[in-house]
Formats: sequence, C-alpha cells, structure tokens
Amino acid sequence: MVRLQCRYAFLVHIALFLAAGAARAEELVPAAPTDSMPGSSVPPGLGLAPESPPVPPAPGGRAPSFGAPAPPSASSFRLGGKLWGTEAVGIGRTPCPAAEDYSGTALHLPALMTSKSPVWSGAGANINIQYGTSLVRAYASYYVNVNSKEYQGSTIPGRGPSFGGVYLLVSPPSIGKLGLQFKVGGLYEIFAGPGQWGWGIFGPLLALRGYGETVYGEMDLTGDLHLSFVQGLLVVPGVDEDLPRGDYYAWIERGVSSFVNHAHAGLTYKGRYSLKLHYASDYGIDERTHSNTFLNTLPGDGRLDTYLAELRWVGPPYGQLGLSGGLYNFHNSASVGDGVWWAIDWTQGAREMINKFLGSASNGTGKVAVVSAEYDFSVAPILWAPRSFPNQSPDLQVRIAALLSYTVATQDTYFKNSVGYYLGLETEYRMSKYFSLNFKSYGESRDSYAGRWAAYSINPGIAFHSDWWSMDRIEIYYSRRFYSSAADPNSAQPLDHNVIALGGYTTF
Amino acid sequence: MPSLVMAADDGLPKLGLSPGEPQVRSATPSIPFGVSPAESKEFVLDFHGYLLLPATIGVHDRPVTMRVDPSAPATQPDGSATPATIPTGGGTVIHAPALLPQDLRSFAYTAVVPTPWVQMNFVYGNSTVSGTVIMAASTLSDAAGYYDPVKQLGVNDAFLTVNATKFFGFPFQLHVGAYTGRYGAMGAYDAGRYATPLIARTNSIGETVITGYKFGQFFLVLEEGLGGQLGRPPVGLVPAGWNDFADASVGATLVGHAHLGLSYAGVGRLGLHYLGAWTKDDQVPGGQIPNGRIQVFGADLNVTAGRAGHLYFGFARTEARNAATVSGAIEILNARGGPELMAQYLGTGTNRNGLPSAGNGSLTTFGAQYDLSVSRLVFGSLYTGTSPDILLSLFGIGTAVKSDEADRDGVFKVKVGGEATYLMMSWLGVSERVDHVRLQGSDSKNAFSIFSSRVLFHTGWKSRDEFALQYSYFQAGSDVYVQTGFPPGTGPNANPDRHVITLSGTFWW
Repeated sequence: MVRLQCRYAFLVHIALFLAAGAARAEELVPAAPTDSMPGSSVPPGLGLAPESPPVPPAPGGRAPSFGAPAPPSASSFRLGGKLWGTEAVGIGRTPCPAAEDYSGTALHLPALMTSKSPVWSGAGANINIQYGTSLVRAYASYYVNVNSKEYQGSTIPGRGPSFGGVYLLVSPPSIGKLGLQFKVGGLYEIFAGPGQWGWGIFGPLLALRGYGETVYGEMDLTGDLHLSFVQGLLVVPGVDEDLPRGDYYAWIERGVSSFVNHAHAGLTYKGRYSLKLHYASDYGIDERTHSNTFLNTLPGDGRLDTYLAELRWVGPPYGQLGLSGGLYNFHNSASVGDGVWWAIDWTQGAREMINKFLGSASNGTGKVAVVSAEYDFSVAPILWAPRSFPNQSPDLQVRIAALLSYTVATQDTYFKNSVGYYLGLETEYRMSKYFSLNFKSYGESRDSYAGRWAAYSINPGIAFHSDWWSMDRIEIYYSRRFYSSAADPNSAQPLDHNVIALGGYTTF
Repeated sequence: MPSLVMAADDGLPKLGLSPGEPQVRSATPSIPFGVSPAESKEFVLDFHGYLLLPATIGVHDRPVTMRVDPSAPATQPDGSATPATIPTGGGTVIHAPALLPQDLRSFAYTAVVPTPWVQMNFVYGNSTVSGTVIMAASTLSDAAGYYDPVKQLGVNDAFLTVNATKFFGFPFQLHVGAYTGRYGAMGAYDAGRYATPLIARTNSIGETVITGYKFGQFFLVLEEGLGGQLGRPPVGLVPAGWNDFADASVGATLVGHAHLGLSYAGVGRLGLHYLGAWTKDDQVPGGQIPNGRIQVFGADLNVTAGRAGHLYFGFARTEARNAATVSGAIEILNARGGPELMAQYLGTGTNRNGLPSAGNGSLTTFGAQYDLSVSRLVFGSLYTGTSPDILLSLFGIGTAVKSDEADRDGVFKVKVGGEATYLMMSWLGVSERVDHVRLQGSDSKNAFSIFSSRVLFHTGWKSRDEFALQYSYFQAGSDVYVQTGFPPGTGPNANPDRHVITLSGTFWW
C-alpha cells in the first residue's frame, strides 16, 4: 500500500484544483433525479451534502430522506416569539453581623428576593417556528438567554441556548362530528389553570412534559353542548445517578425517570360554561444503586397522581371566572421525576411539593388538596355595555386570584392539616395610547419548620407601549417586599425589601 | 453602517454603534423568504428543517441488591456496628433512556432505535453564493431529564457555498467554513441503515472544492478538501460533562481529502477516496506528543439499476499511526479521532512491548446495502410510488482489526441486517427489521440480535412525514454491555434491555 506523505497532501489538492480547469463541456451536469425510489438515478456526488442530518432513513425506509426528490407541498411558515430584557436592582439591608468597616447600602444584581415578583432579571428570546400544512405541521421552540461573561460575569452553560419543545401536529379530516389531532415529539401540556388566557397569575394546577404523544378529540353533542377529550403518554428520561449537579447543570433529581399518562374530558355549554376533569399519573422509576433519596430514604418506585376539576364561566362584558381544584396523591414521591413540572408552583419532580406541603418526615407519602380561582375583567366593557368596547380608549383591567392548599394526609405531624395560601391582584389602567399605570400585589403563606413562611409584596409601576393593544412594553416597577423570619432567615445575607426594575419586551 | 433595527437617516448624530449592530459586517436584511438560493439571481433567505422525535422505553428485570437501611439503628442488637442491609429492587423495571448496546460511537450501533435529532438550516444567498447556518440539537430541553449543554449544539455548522459553474463553464462548487464531509454513504440520500459513513467523516473548518466533467454518458467528479478543527482542548482543561469529557492530550489536527468519481448514464458511480488526518503539535500536557496520523483509502460503487433497485458496495482501509494524538477532525465508523478509534477498535491497553498503546494499527472495512421496491420490480416505470408497495433492504458492515495490542489484533466485527416494509395504504404500513451484530468474530457471548416490528403512519404515499410505533426485542450475549454511568463507561453492571418500545415522529422540509 502506497502511503501518501502528508507533506505532499497540499500538492494533491492544488493538482486536483488545476486539473479541473481543463475540463469544459456544454452540458454541465446530469439531469436531476425525479424521485427517490430504489433504482432511480442519484446525483453524481461523492459524499453527503453538508446540509443533510446525521441520521438514518425514516423507519421502514418509505419516507424520502432529507434532500431527496419529493413532491412539492403547499406548506407555510410562521415565525413568532418574544424578546425581553429586564434589570432588577435590589436595595440591600445591613447584614448582621456586618463585616468590619462595612457601610452604606448594598446593591444586588440581580435582586435577592423570593416568592412571586412582578418582573425577573434577565434578557433573551423565545423563538417559535412553525412549518407545514394544515394536515401535518412542525413546531419548534428555541430558547436563548443572554449568557456571556460580559453581561453576567460568567458563562453558565445551563442557560442555553436550546431547542425546547419540538413536535409534530397531525390534523386529519374530521370523522363525522369527531375531530382528532395527534401530537408527537418533545412537548409540554398545561391543564386546569383558572386564568382565561395564558398562564394567569398563579399558573395552572397541572403542567406536564416529556417525549411522547398527545391525542386531542372534540365533537358537538348538541347545538350548544361541546365535548372535548385529551389523552397522552409522556416519558422524561432519567439522569445518571453520578451526574454532578448544582455546577453547570441545573439542580435535578438523579437516578429517576418519569412516565406520565394523563386523560382529560370536558364539556362546554354555549361556549360560556365549561366543566373539565383532569387526571394524571406520574410514575417514577428509581434506579439508584448507591445513593438514597433526598429524604435519605431507600430508593423505590414512586407515584404522584393528580385529580382535578375545572369550572369556568365566561360572561362578557363581565369577564371570566375560573375555578380549579382537586387532590394530589403522593406515594413514595421522593422517587418521582419531573414529568409533572408544575402543580402548586414549581415541582422539581415532587421535591418542592414535599418540602412545602408534606414535610421531610413524610417519606414522600401524603395527600394535598388545592383550590385555585381567578377572576379577570375590564371596567370599560362593562361601562360601554350594551355597546361593544372598541379597545381604543382608556380602560382598567383587573385580575384577582387566590389559591388555597390543605395537607390532607402526611406522616409528618408538623404538616398534618397544614394550610397555605397565595393571593394576587394585578391591575392595569391604560390611560393613554402610550402609557399605563400598573399595580400588582402578591402574598404567599404556608407552614414550615421555622414557623410561618410568608412573603408579601406591593408593586406599583408604569408602562409605555406603542399602541392601545400593542404587544410591546417598557416597564418600570418598584417592589416593596415583606418577609417573615422563616422566609428571610439569614441575617448575614438578608433578602432585599426594596427592588427597582426596568425592562421591556415585545412579542410577535 | 446602518443599524439593522433603526433607520439610518434619523438625523441624530451617532456617538456609538447601535446595540443591534452586528460585531462583524453583514448584509442588509431586505430579502424574500422561502426561496431556494440555488434558483434565485437575487439574494433570498431559505429555511429547511429536519425533526426526528422519538420517545423510547426499555423493559427489563430489575436485579435485587442489598442496601444499607438508612432508617435502621447504627448498631445491631448484639452491639456490633455492622449496618443492617435489606434487599431492594426486583420485579420489572422500565428504563428511560433504554439501556441498549447502541452507542453511536461504537461498532454495535445499528440506528434501529431512533434517538432525537433536530436541525434548522438557514440559507441566505443567490444562485452564485450562499451562506448556510445549521442549528441543531440531539435533545429537547422541555422534554429531557436535564439540560445537557453537550447535546444542545447551537450553531453546529456555518459555511459559504460558491457555485462558479457559470463563470468557469464547467461544474465548480466551493464550500468554505465549518461543516462535515461524509464519504461512503450507503443510502442514496442518507448514510444508510446504520447512519454510518463507511469510509470516513470529516469535521473541520476549511474548504472543499467539487468539480466535474461530462463526456458522453460519463460524468467525472473530482472533490478535494482541506481543513482543521477550530480549536483544541486547552492544556489543564479538566474533562467534565459540560465539555463532553474533552481530552487535552490530543493535538491540533488537520485533515485533507481527495476523491475521484466516475458515473455512467445515471445508473452507476464508482468512487475512489483518500483522507488523511495528522497532528504536529506541542500544546499538550508535558509539551511533547508524537506526530499522529490516520489515513483512509477507500473505494465504493453505487448502482441504480431501475427495476432491480439500488446497490451500494464500499471498501475502506484505515491506517493509524500514533493515532492517540489525532482529534475528532476525522471519524472512522463514527469513532471520533484517535482516542475513540482506540477505545472502540485498536485498544487502549499496552502493546506487545509492554508500553502504553499509542494507537497503531489498521481497519479493513467493507459494507454493502441493497434496496429494492417490489412494485417497481414488477411494474417498472409504470409504478410511481402512489400505490401499495413492498420495500426490501439488505445491509451489512464488517471490519477486521489489526492492532499492536495482542487482544485486539485479529478481531473481526460484523453486523448485518434486513428490512421488509409493506406499504398497504397511503397512510399505513408495517415493517420488520432484523439485525445481527458480532463484536468479536465467532464469540457468541459478544454478539446480539435485534428483532424490530413497526407500524408506520404517514399522511401520503410519498409524504416526508412518518410516525412509527416500534417494538424491538434484544437478544444479547452474556458479554454484551451497555454504556452507562457518568462519565459513560461499560461494565457488567448494566445488561441490555430485552424489550424496547419506541414512538417516533419524523418530518423534514
């Protein structure tokens, strides 16, 4: 075998380059292939194009591979997203004990605070991409956070960028009255939120995520009565037991994986009254071989079952009232992963729910009941009724929400019959096309081993926008915050009680 | 240069650059969208994507292990300090991710169980010059167990393409930038059933020139490329998860390659390939490493025989000398650079002289794939792919290892498989695939088989979408282990799952 010396490799490239110059022809290239069936001609190239993905053909080999000749389709493209940037400055308190020669007021970037806030520090973008037809459509979300050392002092790999949810949605023609949709991919689903649009003040009572599928169905039972149902199965792959955490990876429960099956049914009457029932079971497989759970119990498979009901009334011009409630049933849930990623606030698997509502002596077993309500209305449509409000003049929007939790059962006597609550009020007075006055106030209280954990805030602010209902904002908030000693226990690094935030965002 | 987001002539004097100003020069974004640059004289923006989205679980028997009971007292009733142990485990366990001997970097990889891959291609340019940026990921942060920065690839490829055919009067295409080259693709439009370039893959920033000459029914193709990796792990870097356990002892690596192809009347193409990757570096711990080199000589044949289907046959000879210092600028059978070539084939122990192995040896590799459409075989050109069909595929790769490590020398690895797919309706099909992998020649303990059954759903006969529900049965020898742990490694503690269920969706545009 002749071994080509490396020093001559450059000469080979140059020779090939020059040799090509001697080749000339009138017909430059062969005709392009017309299909990708086995036996059809292929392009004369010697390797794969750099644009093609490093993947095998689709299962079974039927679907043409990337770049292969395929029939044209009437696909459309949509691009949406949100861009934001906010700085929250915390005005600190004197630490106790303070360092020698300490003086003045500390300024914290980002602000040191806990519980709900009107704004959070950060800058970035969510980009949402859609492509496809009405029959099959791809959705992809891409998350970007400003993450350079120049902006935040260090680069944190865990902040991205990343592809978040990516899935395919198939919407076949209706079968009689029955309409079906199928979703496959990496996705998340949200249920039982009392707010009318979006997240609401305190969010839903059930949010799921993972790789898997969701089936949506709907049909009209009568002219006024509409039935909808949802079924899904999601898998959240586990993390190796020895993965270091808290460094460049976010805090995660290791050695456990989640399998979530969920089912939902709802009836809507005249489009104004709706009743929905939700069930989800997050089954946690615990594969730890040499470490224990965060409760220092032996690993064993666990489960978190969720049973929820949702009532909603939509009554223009008087707004909408949503009421959701139900029960979370925990069994060895220290081994349940992050399939249910939001229940009452973040879950981090079941870890946060155990810490806040069941107690560390519960062994992760117990029951928590919850009721959440939100009422949203605008004053101007009520005053304009029966005329319709054109959304082009001043208005006062109000959102009021409350959430009550009750620990029905736990082995931790400290948390037995424990009651917690969240309260929220958000108002916005759009006094002109370009300017609004805002006021938000939140409260959170629950039991803890250190006493009552409580945090309250009042948050007045102003906002500038480019039109009455434009999706862009520049906001300035002042947040006065109040904490119980259990919520602000470290006198050496006390939380900020005064926070000033300036930021802006736009959605498209 | 005017800002991208503000009007330039607003009359206000500028004291600094706009925050929207790019840190390098760029073109103004007044562009049509969704038009292929190859078909446009004007500058346009084009967008393509590929999604492979599987959910996979593995089912196996859970071993019973004795564990220290944390709730038991520290001392026993007899006063001894022996901690109490109790049995844990047992029963059936469901794994996600499934425990499979399917590491992409190993010969055992068959690609039969799909793994996530998402990429978005953004192309800007015209029929003469275009720029391509590919953003990619092999995980989805909304669905994954944790955010893995290694699998979120961000901008994975970025390159310029110049098509100077009109200027030269003969086909001439130039790529400059960071991109991959894959040679020995066993499929007509993909790397084959094993998703493994048979001859080699390059990962470099550099250039590639592709040119050709048509005479009669023949078409001669010439391709050459030269590039290197953009950087190397700095001395002192601690291998960790976030840097994909980088090896700072490899040197900066360049890779050059040249290829010659001759196709005839669109029915066949013969290709000859040479790739050489080498390192001469001193920026390593201790400052001294030997020059390392990996060279590949290959030949392959594509036959597109109409009714008789598509046949690929390829051969590659890989020669490694001090390959331990060669980085992942070159991949052999998906093994990145010398360290992975050693880990998978040549060995990382000691050579016959009792010295640490340096990555000396060779691989003699051959592979083939044959694809056939039965309807096309029967009906010829009358069959257009819009009625029932049976697709058949046979494929295999074998490689013989020659190494200066005694226990790796003479090892022969081979994998073969077959797949039959019956497309019965425009939206429904079924498929069966069988794979057999032998990692140590005739040693059945180091061999496994996979039997996979699928139900396929799609939105049309020739649609680019596919939804597959797949069951795979793994029948593994007793010495077949899976990669697990952090950092990943193989060991007797993890046996492969027997039953694997996958639901996947794929789509591209």
